Amino acid sequence: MRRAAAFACTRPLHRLEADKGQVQQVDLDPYPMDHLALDAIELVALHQAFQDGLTREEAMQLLASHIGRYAAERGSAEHLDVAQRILVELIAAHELLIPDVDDDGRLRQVVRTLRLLTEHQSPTGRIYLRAGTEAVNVLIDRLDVDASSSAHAAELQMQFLIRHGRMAEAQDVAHAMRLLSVHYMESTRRYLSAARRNLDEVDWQGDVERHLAEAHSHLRARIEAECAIDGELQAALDSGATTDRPAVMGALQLIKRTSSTHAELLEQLAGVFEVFRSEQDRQRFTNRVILARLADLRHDVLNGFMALTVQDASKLEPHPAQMILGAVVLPQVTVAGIVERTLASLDRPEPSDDPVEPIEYDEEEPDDSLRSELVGWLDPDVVDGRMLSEVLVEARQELDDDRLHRLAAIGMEAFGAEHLAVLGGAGEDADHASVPERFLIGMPSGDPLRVPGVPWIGGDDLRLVAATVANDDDRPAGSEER
Amino acid sequence: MSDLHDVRSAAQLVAFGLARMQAGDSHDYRELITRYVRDIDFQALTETVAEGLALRVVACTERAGMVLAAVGAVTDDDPTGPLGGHRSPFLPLSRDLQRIKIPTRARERQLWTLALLAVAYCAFPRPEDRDDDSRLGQVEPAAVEQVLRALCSELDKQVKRSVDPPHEEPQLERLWRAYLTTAETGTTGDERALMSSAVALITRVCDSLTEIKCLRPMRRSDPLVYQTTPKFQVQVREMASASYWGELSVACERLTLTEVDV
Repeated sequence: MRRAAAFACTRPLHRLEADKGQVQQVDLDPYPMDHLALDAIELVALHQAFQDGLTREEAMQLLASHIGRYAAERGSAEHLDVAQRILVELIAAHELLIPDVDDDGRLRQVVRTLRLLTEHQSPTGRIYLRAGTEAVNVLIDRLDVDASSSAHAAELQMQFLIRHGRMAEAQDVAHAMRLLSVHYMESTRRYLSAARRNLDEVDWQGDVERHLAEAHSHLRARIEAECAIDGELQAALDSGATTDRPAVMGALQLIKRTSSTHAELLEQLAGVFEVFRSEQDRQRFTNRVILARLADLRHDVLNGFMALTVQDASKLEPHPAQMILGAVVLPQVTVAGIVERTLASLDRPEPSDDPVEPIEYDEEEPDDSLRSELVGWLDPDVVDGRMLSEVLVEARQELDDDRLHRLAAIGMEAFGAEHLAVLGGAGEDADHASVPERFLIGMPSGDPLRVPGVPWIGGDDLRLVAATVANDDDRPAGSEER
Repeated sequence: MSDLHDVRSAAQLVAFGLARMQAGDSHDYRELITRYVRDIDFQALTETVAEGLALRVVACTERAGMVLAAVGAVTDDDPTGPLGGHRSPFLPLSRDLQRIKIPTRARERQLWTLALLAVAYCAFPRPEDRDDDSRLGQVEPAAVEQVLRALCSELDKQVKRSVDPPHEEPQLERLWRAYLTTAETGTTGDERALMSSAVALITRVCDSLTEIKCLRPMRRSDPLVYQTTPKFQVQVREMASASYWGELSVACERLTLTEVDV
């Protein structure tokens, strides 16, 4: 069953290869898509550092130059296109059906979501790629084998390969060693961030010391080996004994990059005890009054909640979210509010005779993620002063009919948005929550709303004006603008 | 028997609490809180007024102000209660939750709650942080994401039972699995931030908490860091006092113990 699951992880690669005939725009025949996908995963894994890695753009460029070796005559634009196809496929979530046994011992199929490459944000805000666990497993077998012995074996193997001039294989082994260092860095990073939160959650005597000792001995062996290999390579170059100079140069380069990874790991390891001491000062010597009846936020609350099924979590009573949100005051509809609202509508220009077509969507269960995604099209600062029809025409290039329909509905909400703000200003504090600081007001322009090729959007076109809520009592600035 | 002036003051204190004001915002509010803390009769009177409104005083301190919970939200509906078994008017309705951008679908809403609990944990990682009144926690959405993802994958590794739902019953999906299938962060085709990503989800949770004055964004922080308010701390303690957590934690452990032979 584990083999079946592991095998399933390679399915996205096979699919890339199998489906290449169906791609109309590019002739993918010269490119072995499955091999290239493996290369892409390796490329990303080799460049992933402590909290950084290749961006999608960088990975695309590097992969494209690699792809170029298969069909140099096709031109770099096509190589980039192929690289993008591969990366998109690897980043996408794949739903796989995996055989499984339920509690009663019956066999069944379950759905697993797999991403071979994942996107992460670095502390500097760069969005970079990391190879997922499954990707690393597909690529270089399991990493959590006994680290010290496998490193030793690999080193012997590498020295043997170099002595016999088999540079390409030696490079492969060096790659694997570097990935192992990356693996150590990852676990050190996890220990450090856990220690910053709560020292009690980290087993310093057992886990961390063992981890540090392993990482240190791995490093010591690696650095010695690298020096030796570096010396042998230099000697090979100087004596002119090798026939394959580019391969030797490549190996030298690789050793240099590996050294920098190791230097980073060394620096990180040196910082571990520093972090430990300062966190000990900070965490230990603050007063400790523990109310025993309260649940522990990590073990009881977070773990307990995340282990629930969606169904059971919905049934919790009282629901934890409600308890954190506390008592909520409903907005009260008052006569004064209605009068003000009615008066406000008198100031507005008469809409044209063309009736606004009611656009309906499921009010009960609007898909919030879809809405949040679509709202990006109507960023007040970006669309300020434009017509709703212009925004829709632009959006039509990228959105399908359903989404466009929904976007039109969201755009229509801007019509009458100032009433919302007026209600808030009339003293109903709870309503403030719904009025963002920056919002859009739609003013009927008098022209009908037309989007070429989309006959089912109609009504008045709106001019969108961005407005800002100045303070609690003011009406929004910009509500007088046309 | 209190006189009418006292009743008015007690009701006013409850109103201040409902208005989500800060103790620093109003001189009257501060005075009433001081009176509540010092005068045991006034305390009892205020609690009675709150009770009559189907509310419960969670805490009333100078730092946190008056923190109230709707009674329906903390105990089972009691047919002999002030509303005779009806919902408390202060219980958030689905529409109000939507107003502060809480999703309506069951799966999204529970993921939202998971993110909310993770925010609470990252703001107060140690029990003594949560119980120390002078502690102001800090929350950075990207860091919360990493912590939550690490905890979810840790549990995922430990769980030995098969928990994947058959594909015709998605509501049996476990929350940590659901969370792990959400992309951490990402960009859409045109380089805008992916709204369905986990970091975006946690940022939305922080925004909702900001709207109800449980968090406040710190000025000049980039990326944006939020600071907790004393009120949030009180509400987190309230949440942690629910009776079911012990049971859930045991249920979670059971998942990691039982092994099904394959």
